[in-house]
Amino acid sequence: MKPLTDAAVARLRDAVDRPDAGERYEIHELLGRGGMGAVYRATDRVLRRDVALKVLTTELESGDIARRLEREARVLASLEHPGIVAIHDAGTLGDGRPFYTMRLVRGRRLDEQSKREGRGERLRRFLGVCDAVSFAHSAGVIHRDLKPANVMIGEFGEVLVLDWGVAKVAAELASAGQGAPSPAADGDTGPGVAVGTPGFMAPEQSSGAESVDGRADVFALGAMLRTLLGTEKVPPPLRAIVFRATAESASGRYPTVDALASDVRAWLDGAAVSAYAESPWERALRFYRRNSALVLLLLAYLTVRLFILWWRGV
Amino acid sequence: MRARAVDLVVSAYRAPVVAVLRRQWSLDLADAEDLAHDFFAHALEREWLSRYDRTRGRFRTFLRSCLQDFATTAHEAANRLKRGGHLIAVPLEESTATVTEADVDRLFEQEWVRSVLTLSLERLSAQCAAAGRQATYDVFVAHDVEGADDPPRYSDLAARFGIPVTQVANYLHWARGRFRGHVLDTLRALTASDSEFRDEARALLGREP
Repeated sequence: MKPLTDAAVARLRDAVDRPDAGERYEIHELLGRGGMGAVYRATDRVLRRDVALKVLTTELESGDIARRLEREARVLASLEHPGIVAIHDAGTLGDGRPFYTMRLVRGRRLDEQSKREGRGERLRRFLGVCDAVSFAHSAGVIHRDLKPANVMIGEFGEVLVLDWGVAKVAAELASAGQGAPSPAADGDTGPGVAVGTPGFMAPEQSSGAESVDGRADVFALGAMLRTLLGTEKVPPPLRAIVFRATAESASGRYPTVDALASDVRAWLDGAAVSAYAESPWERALRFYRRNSALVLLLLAYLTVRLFILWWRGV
Repeated sequence: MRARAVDLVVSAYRAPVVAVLRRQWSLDLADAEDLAHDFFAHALEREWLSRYDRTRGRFRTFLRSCLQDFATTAHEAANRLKRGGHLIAVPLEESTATVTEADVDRLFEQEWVRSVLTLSLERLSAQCAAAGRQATYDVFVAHDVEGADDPPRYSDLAARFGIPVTQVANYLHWARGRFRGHVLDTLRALTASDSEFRDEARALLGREP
């Protein structure tokens, strides 16, 4: 047999790796790959639409990883929200690998999109992320791996939070008697091992020692906000929001994602931010910015009034 | 734990070992093949493979390390012969100035993948021949091996092999499924435990796009 060329090696690896999706799905290009598996664009031949198909790398992955993929599918199925990608189908492929299909999101990742937008637009996108995460929290689900790369901006500008592979349902945490998350790499759910992404992981999540609750996601959102604000000069109230959201101690953070979102929304509206104690001058300036038309009208009125009084020699 | 298929280890790692000897030690093909043969003979005789401890790293890393020791010893022996005025049996000259350790590791990994795929392709060929499915194998090779750079259209393959276009798709589907099975079987035989097998499967399949 002739030695295989590099192109043949690449093609054969792809042929081996490509899921056997049977009659229903036609597999197209690989969209991405993570610790758990790969995501392909696929066509659902029955419903005649494109979907994203997530599948384990091999059918012989450890049971924990297979269970995690199944749990991710169940978590997504339980979260019906415009900001959370909808799941369509789940099961086992012809080659024995667990899979699920979800809405194919066409768009850009938040970190790529944010480079093209102004601060206001970035903050409004961030509020979209907060809405989705807040909804998940209300359903008892903690994402645990929030970062700009896990957020997509769809072609209609919709914000979608992806990758719920290490999400934990609060009930599971409570029944486990501890908050140690399961690791992203190998699916082991033992205590003391961290999941998530360095830089976005709350200290209690990195150590795996303390209970992890929704405030771990608040930390990740604060870190995400810091990333979105970039290196430009950040106004002190926004800096204070980031500072509070990413406090070392969970008790020093916003208690909920809604509280964090509320502060960001307040800043966008020119209102006071709970995380920042402003000086009287800053308060006056903020009042002027928020009500500049009214202030200018009043000043104009007073000027005219004074001029008339002066003219009359009063 | 299960026994590693030693014959298969030799078959699968022969090409990577030859490639490393040629690149790192600047041997020509014939000398590299001779030294590779000596290396495996030595490894089997001294039962090096059974000394592998999984907790200390991958099997490939262990084998590379054994090869490095063996080639260094061979190099020193060749130098001694040279100083003694004898004929140089193996003119070893390590060219580490231009080849980094990372380059050699990458080459070893790349040739290992090529080797596993080649062995699996041979198994598929044998299976197809035994099952009277030569045409299936030929279509698979025409599309995924010979046509890897620019895969031919199904209609062109259908015309070339005188079969319907749907049959081309069926043949490819069947052959890919069996080929995948052979790759995983080969990896399983090359490893001594399920966790090692999973790691190797991930290394071969779970690459970055």
